Amino acid sequence: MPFNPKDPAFLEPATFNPAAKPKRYFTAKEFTGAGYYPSYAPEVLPQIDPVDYPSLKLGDLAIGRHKGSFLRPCPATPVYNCCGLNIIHIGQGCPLGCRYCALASYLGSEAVIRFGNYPEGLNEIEAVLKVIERLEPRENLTLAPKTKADNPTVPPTAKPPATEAPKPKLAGSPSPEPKPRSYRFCTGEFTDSLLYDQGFKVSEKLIALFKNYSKSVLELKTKTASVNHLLSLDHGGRTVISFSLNAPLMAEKLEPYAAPLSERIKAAKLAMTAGYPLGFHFDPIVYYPGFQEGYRQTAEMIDKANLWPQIAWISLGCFRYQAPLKTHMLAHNPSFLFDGEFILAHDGKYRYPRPLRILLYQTVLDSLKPYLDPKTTVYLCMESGRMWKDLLGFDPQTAGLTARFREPILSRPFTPETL
Amino acid sequence: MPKQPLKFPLSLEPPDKWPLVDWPLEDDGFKLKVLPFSFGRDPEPLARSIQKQGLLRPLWGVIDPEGRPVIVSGGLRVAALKLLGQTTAPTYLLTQDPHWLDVWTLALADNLGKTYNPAEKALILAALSSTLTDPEMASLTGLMDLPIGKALKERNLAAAKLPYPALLALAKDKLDLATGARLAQLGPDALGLWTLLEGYNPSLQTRRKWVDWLIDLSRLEKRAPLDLAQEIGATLANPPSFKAPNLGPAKTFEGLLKSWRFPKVTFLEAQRLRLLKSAPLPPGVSLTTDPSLEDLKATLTIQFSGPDDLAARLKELKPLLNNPNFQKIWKLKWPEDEDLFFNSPTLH
Repeated sequence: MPFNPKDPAFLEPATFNPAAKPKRYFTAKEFTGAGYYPSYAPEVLPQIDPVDYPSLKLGDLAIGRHKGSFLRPCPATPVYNCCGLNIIHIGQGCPLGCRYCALASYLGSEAVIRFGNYPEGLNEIEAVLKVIERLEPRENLTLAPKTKADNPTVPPTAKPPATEAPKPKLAGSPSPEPKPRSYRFCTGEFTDSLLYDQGFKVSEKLIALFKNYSKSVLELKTKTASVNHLLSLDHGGRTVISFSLNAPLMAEKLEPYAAPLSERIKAAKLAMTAGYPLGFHFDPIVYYPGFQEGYRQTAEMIDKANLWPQIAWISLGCFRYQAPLKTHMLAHNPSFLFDGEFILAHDGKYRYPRPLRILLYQTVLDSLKPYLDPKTTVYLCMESGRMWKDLLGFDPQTAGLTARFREPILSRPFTPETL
Repeated sequence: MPKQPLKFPLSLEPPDKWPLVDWPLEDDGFKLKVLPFSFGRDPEPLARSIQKQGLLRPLWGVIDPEGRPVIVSGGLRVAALKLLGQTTAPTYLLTQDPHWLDVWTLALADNLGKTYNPAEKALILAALSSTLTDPEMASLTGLMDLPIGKALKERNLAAAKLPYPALLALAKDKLDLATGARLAQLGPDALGLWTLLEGYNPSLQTRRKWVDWLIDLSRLEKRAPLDLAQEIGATLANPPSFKAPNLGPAKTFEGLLKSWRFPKVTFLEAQRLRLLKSAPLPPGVSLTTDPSLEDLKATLTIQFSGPDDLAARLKELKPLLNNPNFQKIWKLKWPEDEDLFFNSPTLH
């Protein structure tokens, strides 16, 4: 299972699970003191300078400073329909070791860096939430199409009312002017939202913040089952706890340190009992022998837990990769992911050919269809309008897709009848 | 060398304490060792300059722990001087057994502002890695844009092991780093495969594609990439008397390699071609790009000489929309036969 066979951490897989808790802790000099450390960390931590981050390894957790904005748009490409997710940058790095993930290759390490100055981020986010709260109802809102392919019938730009809050930068904003495209915010893009979260209290503070705002939604995206610390919180229905799901065999083979699929479903059930809306992300959907049966099993697991009524959204996305990272990923990951047939897509990534993606999406949709609640939004992650039309019967385009997430989260933009 | 770094000024003005010696450029016993600051560069222009103006800057040298002379900075100057028939060169000798960190600092400072080619970067990184620790290397990033990110570092270290002709291609931007790294991982086969592929004179992009496909295919087929490439070459030289079913014409190295690596994509593309041929376009109309296997987008070009002519063309096009073969192009299905894909050894 190792990323790096020479790493001593992998010589003791039975005793070391980086998803449970870090093996080593470090902190920047300015964040020295118990207030900055997770509750389970030692009282005194060795100091580390950011230039030494490349020497951090799997199982390491460092507390450092984030320079720049804590909000950033999802690194999506404008050539496909994008859901306009906004990223809250609480940290980076992930030790879960998912074999399809390029994050470790991209960042150069499996170590986790959490930002000690995240309270500054909370202030920045609150300022943005306040701006959003004052915006006009949906039909009068500014939409900032990324491309000409976006809906040309979108109403002309309307500036939000003047405010004393700092000007926010949201997904798709081409200029410093606040032009919100979407009100979904997620912490799980460059790290797992709930990994090591229990000791940091970041999610608790974000949940408490978002519950005061009716037009924005927080999404906590995870492959762990670590939700217990969130269950007793007052979330006001403004936080979606979402889980990345896959076929059982793929979860077992490709997500070595993530919580087992059954544990994730149990955690979802707990979150549901606590009243949280749920999200599920079937991403990456992988082509493997028996994929039809595999994805059907996962749908059945959701059904057995009776989670359907509480699912706010389900996203689907097929496995894709960037060519420059292939060599590095192959050196550390099983090759069968790359053994399939791929084509070079318009975003520079390699994807399964369209007929194969249709087959995979249709299989997963067919697995979900018997159970799907009418309130649940199903969307495709980074797919063309043509794919939307063929699978879901219409093309929302980026503007239309993000607009759907602007509605109260438990609305029903798409229904099973449209699938 | 001693572990404690020595402090000495980084000014390129020669410090008094470093003696200027006449350094032998050839030795009876061994080839002069030179740190890899110049690779794949033509020494002739510099030789002409030295011939005209003399050597403006002496070299820097050190004696390594084995007593071997090492040129720390001045590799291209050594080559130019040799071209001019010189047997010695004025060299500042670092006499106090300096630490490698100091040696590298001095050498990088002496080459400050130089634009390194990819091969030089890879070789320098490999040499640095063998002599310095990661933090020591990190301290040198101000003197050179060192690739210290894990993935990039791995790629450079791999590429540094490329056989000479491939390394030369890397230096001259005829091979990209990622492909070079993959090629280098083939070990002794790398040279053979490189030589074979060069015989087809591929472009940079094509070369990258072929290496990628061959290595993927070798994993699937459990055969060496060189072996596969040789078989493709042999098949092209002596094509089988039968035509491979559904794989279309594979008369080129790339065509045959692609049909082996991507049998289903090749099959679908061949099917698309057949359907296009069976749904002929009216005169003056052409499909400039075929519907892709990504999003089915195609570009239709209509030649016309006026509104009435355009109306006629459009009228002629209408039956095409109802042509079942033309419609089928947009509804191609993934072949159900899974044998070719699902033989991967790593899944089970």
